[in-house]
Order: sequence, then structure tokens, then C-alpha cells
Amino acid sequence: MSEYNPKILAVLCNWCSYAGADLAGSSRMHYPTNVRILRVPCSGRVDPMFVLKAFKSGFDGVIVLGCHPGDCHYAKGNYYTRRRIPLLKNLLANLGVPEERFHFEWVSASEGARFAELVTEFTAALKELPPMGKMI
Amino acid sequence: MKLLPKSGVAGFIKELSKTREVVAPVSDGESYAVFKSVAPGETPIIDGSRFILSPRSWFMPGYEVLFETKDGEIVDKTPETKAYATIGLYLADAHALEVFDRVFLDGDKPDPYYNARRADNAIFALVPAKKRWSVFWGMTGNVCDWKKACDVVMYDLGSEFVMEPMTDRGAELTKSLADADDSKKAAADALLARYDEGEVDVKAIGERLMWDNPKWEEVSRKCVACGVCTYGCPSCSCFDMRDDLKCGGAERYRCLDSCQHADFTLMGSGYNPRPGRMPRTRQRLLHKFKYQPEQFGMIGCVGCGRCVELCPVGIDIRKIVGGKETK
Amino acid sequence: MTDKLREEAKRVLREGIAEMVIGWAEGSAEFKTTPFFAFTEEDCDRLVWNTACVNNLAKYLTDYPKEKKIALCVKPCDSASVNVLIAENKVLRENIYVIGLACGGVIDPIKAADAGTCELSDATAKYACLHCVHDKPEVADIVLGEAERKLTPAGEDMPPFEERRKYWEKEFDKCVRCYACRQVCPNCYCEQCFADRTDPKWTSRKPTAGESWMFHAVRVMHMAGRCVGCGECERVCPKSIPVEKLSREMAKYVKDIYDYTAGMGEKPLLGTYKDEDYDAGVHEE
Repeated sequence: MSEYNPKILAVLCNWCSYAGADLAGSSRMHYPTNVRILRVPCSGRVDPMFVLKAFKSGFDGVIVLGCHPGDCHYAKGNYYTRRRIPLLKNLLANLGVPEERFHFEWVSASEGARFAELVTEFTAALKELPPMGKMI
Repeated sequence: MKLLPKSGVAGFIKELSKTREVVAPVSDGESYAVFKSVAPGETPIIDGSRFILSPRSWFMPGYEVLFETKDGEIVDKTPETKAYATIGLYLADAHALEVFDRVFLDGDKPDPYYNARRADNAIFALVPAKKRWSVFWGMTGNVCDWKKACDVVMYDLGSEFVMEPMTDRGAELTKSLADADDSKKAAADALLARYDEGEVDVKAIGERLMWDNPKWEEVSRKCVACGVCTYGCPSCSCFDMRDDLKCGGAERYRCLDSCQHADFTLMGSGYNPRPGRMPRTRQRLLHKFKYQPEQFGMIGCVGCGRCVELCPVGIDIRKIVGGKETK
Repeated sequence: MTDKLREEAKRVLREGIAEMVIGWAEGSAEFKTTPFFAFTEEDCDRLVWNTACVNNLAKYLTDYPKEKKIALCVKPCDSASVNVLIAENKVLRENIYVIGLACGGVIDPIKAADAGTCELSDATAKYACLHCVHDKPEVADIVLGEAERKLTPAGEDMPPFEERRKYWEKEFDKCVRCYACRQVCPNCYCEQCFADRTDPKWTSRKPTAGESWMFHAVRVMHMAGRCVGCGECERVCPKSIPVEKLSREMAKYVKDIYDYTAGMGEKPLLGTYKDEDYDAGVHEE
């Protein structure tokens, strides 16, 4: 049987984290190819529905990255996200989805190395878990 | 008439399940009893101790795949016709199946999905010992006539059931049971008489439930359009057909729908002929008490009382339809 | 109590404080009441207050234009719903007159019918009442009566973590997607629910465990910091799915980390933020 390769959805804010991922790429840094990147204008755009739909459709992990607090292009989008995310984590825990599967971090445009590191760690952590399985 | 002691029910069902798949209300943990195929060792709830959801969930499942496509080919999903025995549905529910038959089986295109579950299904209808507060069978029809919709009528007399076979199939399935004596027969008739509170004059209701009755506004004001009345109803037959993509193909499925929902009549153009809750409430009542009598010659409501009991805001169909018009 | 309520309702109409009074009236059985709209003083004589007054009447506020002057009878939990609506600018505080009623719990009509009694006890109580967090009506122009809470509070009811996924799969498999839980919720007032949208299609209408998982999970998320725990969703579920359990856990968590209780704040929880909630629960230190 082939090696289990978790599927990861990375939701990146356009102004910081996406640029960070771009930097990782253009600096030729290595990171696992398990991530599928979804670019959103701001981490404030990340509706919890995105994350829930991703898990429902069988993604093994979801990682949401946004600008550091205070750096948001829209001044306060990431503050609202920061309020929502713990609640989503709690909901996932109550639904029986381990918290290792969902990750929220700040990555700025200059942190290409951090992006690569986060994704590598996250992928490694997911490999420890069984596949999520699609919910029908 | 035959006699089945309550202690013998499990044995009777076991015997029955040798030739037929037995469907009966079973309790799923805390919840109300639901109609399902009875697994070996499972005890159906037919003693009236629990609120029983309508058998519609079995005859017309909430999710039924009609066909699917796989690699560009169409795969037919029509279920096979099997021999079933449905036990423990109320006499009113058995009558509701007659309404279903008009909808699904009449005409030149009978519905194969419904028919597969209906064609060879022995109906053991129950007349519970305790009449629930919400039940109003007698208000919607002649209860004695409804017996024709069953194979066997089971009268709950407390410690035993009196079984009255109505068809040859019913007689065949109950032939192993002991005969009931005259006193039991009288008790059974007396029990049924308690449910038969006199028939409603369909015409009078039809006249009272006018399309432009100003009362509709008042009746529907407290409705929250949840549709539980229709989902709980044994004779509501509205469904929706939808297509979904799935891995490697697509499927067309049928699911329940309710006239109480806003999107029930919503058209592609965005126009909705029943925009508010008033026209939807009116539709539900007029459909059951006016259109169906005109179409099928029978009232669409069977008086099981589930909508009365389940309605979150206590809308009582009996009060809307009005005083009993006895013959 | 009923007399006092009727008097108050009559006064409200007589003095023109409101055009109508939304309350409860006698239902079809002793353990049932039904929402009732009183427009005249004679109507007010049909209002009742007892342990069968189970409905959260705040539901009806959003049916009417904000300008309409309405008097509303509320239990403590319902008044929290009213407060959520005020905070979200769905109703104007000055246009509603809130008649608060002290409440020690209400009965679940179907449980009461099964038990054959309308006496309030742990067995017949509406399940949410065993988890009640509301002592008194939060927004009220007048509070009538006094009540003593005699019900035994229910304990933790969430299954252990390992069993949860199985547990919810089984529960959501029962769901027929009638959306009664949504319809009856006083704070679910979206003009178009995400579940009814076909483009983008967040969830299919198909009543399978996975699709219902999506519906219920999103519903909980939409109600985060807004659910007041009145338990109407759970009561009306025709499949008796414990749909409120997740919202209840959410409310506890919200209280824990943000010290916020739905219906008691001036502003909606997720419509505000604080600098100091830096990384609370996001990064574990």
C-alpha cells in the first residue's frame, strides 16, 4: 500500500501569508506538497464554514494563516478571526475531530521559512493520525 | 378473530420473520419510536408506551437514490419487491397508506420505488388500548371502513391483542393463533367504537375552509413554518428530487419536502406564489380537506394527531377544521 | 399569576404602550399552551402563565417591522433572546415592552403526555431547563411573580472525546433535515439560510449523516455567542436529536474564555474584539 499522504487545505491571507508562501517558493525552500492553497483577501474572510466544509469533504487537516495582529491590511480583520477561531476549535473538539487537525497561525510576508516549517510540522503531525475519511 | 397474548408477541414476530421481513416501531435510545426493519432480538414498541413517528419514514424514506451514474452508465436503483409485514402502525396509518396508494400507484405510471415496499406487505394495524389525547380518527372518516386497508387489525386489550384478519393473507399469517371468544370480540368492538366519534361532513368542511376566509391570517400568525406537521404526517406525500455529484458520477435522489417551507413553491425566476406563512398554512389544510376529497374522494387527514402533538407552537388542526359534524 | 399578567397586558393596551401583546394561551390539552396575540382587552383574558408556557416568543419579534410597538411576555431565557436581537439591531428596545415572568422551569409537552401528568419534575421538564443559566429576565420593563428552582441541574452530558465522532454520526444520521430547529430559533433570522442556498452549495439537501453534520456544525457556529440555551431547537426536533448539546458546550466555552454570556452583553460577541484576547485559545503556551 502506498504511503498515507494527508491532504491539507491551507487558507492564506492575500497580503501576508500568501506572500510568505510565495517567498518560500521563490527562495527554493522545501516543504511538503500536501498542501492545497486557498487564497483569501484577509483571514477575516475565513468563514468557519470553509473549515467545516473542508473536513466534511475529507481534508485531513486545515491550516489557516493570517497577518500578525496589528499588521492586517484591513486594519482589524485578523482580530475578528482571532475571536472566532477558538470557538471553531472547541466545536471541532466536541464533534470528535482532534485539535491537531486544525491549526491557526500568524505568518507575515517575510516569513517564508516559517511557512515552510509550519507546513512541514503540520504534515508530520497529521501523518501520526489516521485519515479523516470523507463524511457521506 | 384470534388471540395473541403480549408475552407471545416476540415469538409471533420471530415466526413471521421466517417468511417476511418484519417492519415495526423500535426505539432508538431516548428518541420516539421509529419504523424500521426489526433486527433479531429487538422488541418493537406496540404497547402504546411511547410516541410513535409515522410509518411514512419507512414507506417513503427521507433519502432514496433513484438512480446513479457510474462511468457514464446509468445504474438503476429501484429496490426489489420483497415480502414484508408491517406491525404496529395505527389503524389511521393504514388508512393513510390508502391515500398514498392514490398518489403513487394510481394512473398509468405507478411509482416503482413505493410499490416495491407496498406490493407484498402484510399490514398489521394497531388499535391502541389508550387513546392519546391528540387522536381524532373519528373526525376524519369512518373508522370501521379503514379496517379494509389492513390485513390484520390488532386490538390492544391490555394483556393481549385480539387479532382480526381482514384478508386471506392475514388469515393465513394468523392461523396458528388461538381463537378469541365472544367476550373478547365484544371488547375489541367496544375499543374501536371509542375511536369512532362520528364522521365529518366533508362538504361542510370544504365550505368552511374557504380560500379567502379572513381567519387564515389569525390561524397562521403563530406558525413558525417549521414543517414538523408535514414531516410527522403519515399521509403527506410531497417530496423533492435533486441531483448530487459524487465520486465518479452523480446520483438523483428523492428526499422529503414540505409545503411549509419557503422554497417549496419558489420558482427559478425568483417568484414565489406562496410567499408568506398564511398561504402555506392554508395550502396544507385545503389540500387535506378540500383538494384531496375532490380528487380521491377521501380526506387527506387521517386524524392520527401527530401534528397536534409535534407542533412546536400548538396549532391544533382539529380546532381549525372546526366542530365535529356528525352524521 | 395569570391574573396579574392579564392585568398588566390590559394596562399595556389601554395606555397605548403597545399595539399587541404576545403571550401564551390555553392549548388543546392541559400540558399544552399556544402562542397568542392579544389586540384588545377582551383578548387579554385568554392569556395564561403556567409551567406549560414552553414557547420562546421572541421568535415573533422579527416577523414585524421594527417600528411596531409590541409587548412581549418572556421567561428569563426568552428575555436573553430579546437582548440578542436588540444587540444585533433587529428590534428596537424603545419599541418593545417586555413583560418578564419569573420561571422555575417548564415542561416538555410530549414528555408530559407520555408521563400523563403536567406536574413539573425532572422527568417531565424540558431538557434545557435542567441546564438553565438564567436566573431572572435580563431585559424586562416589569417582572411578575417569583419562582423557585426545584429541578435538579443535569450534569455533563457530552460523551468522552473518543466516542464523539461515532456519537454524532449516529445522531445526525437520524436527522431528516426538516429544519424545525432553525425555524423555531428566535435568533435564526437570516433571510436565506446557508442550507437553502444552491450556489454556493454548502450542504446538500440529502439527509445523510455527513450532510447533516455540516448543517448542524455550521448552525452551532452561527449561534456561537448568540445561543441563549432556551432549548427550543431540541424540544421541537421530531427525531429528538440533542441538537442543543453542541451549542450548550459552546456557551460554556465562550463564558470560560471571553467571560461572555449570550443575551447579557451590549454588543455581539463576534462583532467586537479586544486587544487583550491575544491568542486566547489560539496558541497554547
